[in-house]
Amino acid sequence: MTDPKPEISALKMFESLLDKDPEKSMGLAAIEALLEVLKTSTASTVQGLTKDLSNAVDEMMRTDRSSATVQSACELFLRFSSLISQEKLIDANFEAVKCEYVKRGNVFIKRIEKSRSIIAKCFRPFIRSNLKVLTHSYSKVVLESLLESKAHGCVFHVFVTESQPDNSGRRMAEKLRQSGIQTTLILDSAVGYIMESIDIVVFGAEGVMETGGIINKIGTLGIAICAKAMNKPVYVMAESIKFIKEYPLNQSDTPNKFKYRYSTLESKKDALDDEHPLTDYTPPQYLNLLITDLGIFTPAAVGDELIKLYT
Amino acid sequence: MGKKKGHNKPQPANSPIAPQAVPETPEKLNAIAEQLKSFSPKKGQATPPSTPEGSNSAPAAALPLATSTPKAQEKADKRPAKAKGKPEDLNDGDGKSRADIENERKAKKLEKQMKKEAATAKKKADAAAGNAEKPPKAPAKEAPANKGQKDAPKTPQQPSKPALKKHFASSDSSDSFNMTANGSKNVSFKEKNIQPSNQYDLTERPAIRVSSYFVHATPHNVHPAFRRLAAKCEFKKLNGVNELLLAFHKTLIEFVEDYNPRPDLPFSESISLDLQPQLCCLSDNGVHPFPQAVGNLIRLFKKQIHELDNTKEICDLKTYLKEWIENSAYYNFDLAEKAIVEFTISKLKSMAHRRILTYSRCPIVEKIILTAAEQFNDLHVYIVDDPNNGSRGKTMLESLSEASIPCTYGHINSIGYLVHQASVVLLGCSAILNTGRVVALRGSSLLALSAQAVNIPVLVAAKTCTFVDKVRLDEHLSTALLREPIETIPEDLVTALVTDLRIVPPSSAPAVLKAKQLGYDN
Repeated sequence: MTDPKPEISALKMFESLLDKDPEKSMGLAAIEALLEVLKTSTASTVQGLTKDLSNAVDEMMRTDRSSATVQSACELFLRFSSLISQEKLIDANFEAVKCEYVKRGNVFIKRIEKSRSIIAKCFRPFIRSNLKVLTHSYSKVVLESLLESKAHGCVFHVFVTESQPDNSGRRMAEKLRQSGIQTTLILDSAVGYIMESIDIVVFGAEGVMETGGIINKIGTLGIAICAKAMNKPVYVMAESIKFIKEYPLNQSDTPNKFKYRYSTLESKKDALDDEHPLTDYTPPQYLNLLITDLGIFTPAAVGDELIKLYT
Repeated sequence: MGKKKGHNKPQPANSPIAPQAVPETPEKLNAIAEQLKSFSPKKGQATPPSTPEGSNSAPAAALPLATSTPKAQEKADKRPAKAKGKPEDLNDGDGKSRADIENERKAKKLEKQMKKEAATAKKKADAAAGNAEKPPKAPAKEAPANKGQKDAPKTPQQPSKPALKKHFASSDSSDSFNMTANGSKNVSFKEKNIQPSNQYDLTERPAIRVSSYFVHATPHNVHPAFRRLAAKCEFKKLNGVNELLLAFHKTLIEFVEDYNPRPDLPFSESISLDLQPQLCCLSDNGVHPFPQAVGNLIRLFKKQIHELDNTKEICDLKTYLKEWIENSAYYNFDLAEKAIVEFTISKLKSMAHRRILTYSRCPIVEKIILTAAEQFNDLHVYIVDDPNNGSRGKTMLESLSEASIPCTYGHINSIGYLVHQASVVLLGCSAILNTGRVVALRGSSLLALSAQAVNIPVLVAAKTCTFVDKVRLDEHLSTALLREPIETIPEDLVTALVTDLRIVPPSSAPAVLKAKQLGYDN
């Protein structure tokens, strides 16, 4: 597949992958699109290749899909692929180098494909029978983990917040009911009321920051603070591709590209104060554990893991 | 803390050990006794007894001075003195090489000569043992009057410094710093056959036993650059760890430059042997630990020395060491500060209101603010200061005002008011512990605590060279060189450490430690 303009192809690929399989992780789709770009790139030098890839990333960022995930996944993919050992680079044959890149890209994707199931396995010990779980909005990782626990015979009750403005909690509740899990849909404002009868709180994440805090659907921070006040454990499930190299100090320090959709940022660059942010930043002190495909970490350990990932 | 310098701590300097209660093993005393037997008794001294009890009784008759216990003291003092190789001590079978002992003898000789000039005529008359006892006991920094007092190692440092400098200035002019065996003058040994003093000065008797690993700092051990450094710190010319580190780098360079290695030892061993007295002089033999960042530097320097390839030319090795020190200064000062400034400014950029609250004066924080002021217009700085601790915030205030940055100055009492006005707290530090605790000037934790109470972030500017692998610090002990009071800030009060590597949460301090150790192992 030759493409004179690889950027457009990447975006199209990204969109088509997500349309085909709506359950696919957005990060995974982004990486697969990048791999296609890598395979079909017409560049003849490493620099040209890198340029093509970064153009592809930029193009994919200009969509309304979650940009935190896309950005982190792409950056990690690029770093991983280009981490070729010195001996292979000496060979100087660009085709060979490109093959190496593609090989490593495939390895990376295989690893990421399994990440959700690894997380689900890690999470299983946390679910006992007759547990009351509270979750927020629609997270595919959380969904898969809960389904897996149910498949292994655990009986538990899930409370899902409606999570306005896009009502994504409703979708989550339906999916859970379909697999036979007892589910209750609650109002966002009813979290304080229900917290005393909850046993554990589980979130997904759109991005995990260097501080160990997370970026997730708006409303997460409120639930986390409520849980901490009532001493309920808060667990976050996130794939390793969601680790972002940013260090927000507070809400206003979180980059705007994580808070608003791309179209909003473009159209209302100066009047963002009137816009409702779609995500918020939950600082690490409100989180107990992060369950990732690299293992189960405390928020403090995420910084170290990130350093390892990004170096 | 004394471990860093590679020698054991001396016996606790302040513990009151009764003069009689010096536990000597009978064998050692026998050895001393044997040795003493060989000396020609001058003042009708009886054969030295072999037990402490015996020693108390026998000389009592012989000595003009009635107290018996000092005799045991002398024996006790002789023992460790022997280990150091007193010039007059003929028993050199204490594990040191002949050459070492000769060197030290000559060094002690010259020192003794000086001390003699300052000593009273009575001691001169005693010639033999009296003089032999005095010089090795006293660290060279002590004024001549305080010579024998081991029990107060802290006090001699302060009052005698100016006197000391005078004292050594005369000797400085006479000979340059030179540790070669050949460079020393030939002094005729009048006191070759020494014997324990029969008449000695009570004031010079040390009250406790000196550890055998005690290294004396004499004017011929200690390079003047180190003494100058100590004097500068004493007179408060160097404020804060940053300036101290920079000065320490320069001192080390001077030391390496002037150093002539001993001919009989490989370069690395020789230089590490001679580095010890310098550090002992500064830290009073481990009684005062070095400030953490300085300790780091010393440790890495020693490591470099250890890894030297002794087959190379001496001048090559010296150049290598000097280059290493210069690189360290460059990385840890020029580059590191630039990086920290950049990172902090990137954080300040995303803030709506840039109202910075800071404590006293940290040079890095000052740099950050000055650079930030060039980029941002709406900067406002709140400086909190402690009038009891030197009011260094005023210096900060002056330099910031010169750059036309709007500032507010308050004492620590006004922290409750100021913290409500600020939007971010920026602190400096002198060290970061393994757990992420921040070692900073006393008063900084008040800012961190108040900031947490009003929910504003606390950033600490920390250079990676100040990260130490310690879990806790004895905050009440004052450090060598720098006498500023410090405290530790708990890690949960600190939002982020801005280091020259990256912005890290305090819990990632061990990761930085690991990374930097690798960095130094190039």
